[in-house]
Amino acid sequence: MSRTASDDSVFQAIACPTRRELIARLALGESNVSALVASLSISQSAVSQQLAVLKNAGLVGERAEGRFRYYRLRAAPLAEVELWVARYRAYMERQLDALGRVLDALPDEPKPAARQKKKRRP
Amino acid sequence: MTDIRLTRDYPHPPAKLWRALTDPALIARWGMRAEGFSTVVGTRFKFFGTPNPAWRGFIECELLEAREPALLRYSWLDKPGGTVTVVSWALAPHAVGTRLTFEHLGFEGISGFLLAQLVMKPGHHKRLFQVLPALLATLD
Repeated sequence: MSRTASDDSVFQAIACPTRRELIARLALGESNVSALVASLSISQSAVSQQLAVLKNAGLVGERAEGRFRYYRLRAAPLAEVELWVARYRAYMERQLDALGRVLDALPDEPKPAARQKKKRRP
Repeated sequence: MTDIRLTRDYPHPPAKLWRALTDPALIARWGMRAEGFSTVVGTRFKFFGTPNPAWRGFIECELLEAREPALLRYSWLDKPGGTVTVVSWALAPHAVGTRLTFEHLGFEGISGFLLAQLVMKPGHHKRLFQVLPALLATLD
């Protein structure tokens, strides 16, 4: 199975643990920088920097409200991954089903060994 | 990082599963067509499927480990410059047959992260697991 061409640029944005923490936190709901700083014990500059990376990768959207900027996950790239995983698992389940059918139809001993046994009999 | 794992019990002995997993003529009956496959470590071989716009139609593999009849492991590259991942088939005697565990490991970045969170260990991040599907359905 192959991932689509758009995967890699988006997905490589998440190689770092801090960005993964941000993703996990934003999966719980929209947030702003100070709330993220407070809940993740990461410095404000680190949060801002990593949010910028996630924004560039299209994984996080931003909106301004009053003095604050709010950040939220953009689900499309994530849905793509989830879809890929689901399809791959279904594909492998079908292969394991087919493997079961092949096994059921296969003799327990390889054919050449069975022939040798017959020859040895008087 | 563990990414995809599927387990299945078969009422057949490990030696028989080993044949089905390593004889190219048998592999082709349940999986992809293998070309150049052998259980000699270091053997480079290919799996062929149906090409599509995002995939050239074959996987490049190298045999990493073969312990008859217990473990088969090979690398997996689905496109040039892509991430090399690793497929393994583990066979263990179980009840009257064999427990087969398929694993596909080594996905990087967010795909690996999400695979781990959503597929493998939902309990570890239960809240994320519960919230994300709803989020996926409603946003963007």
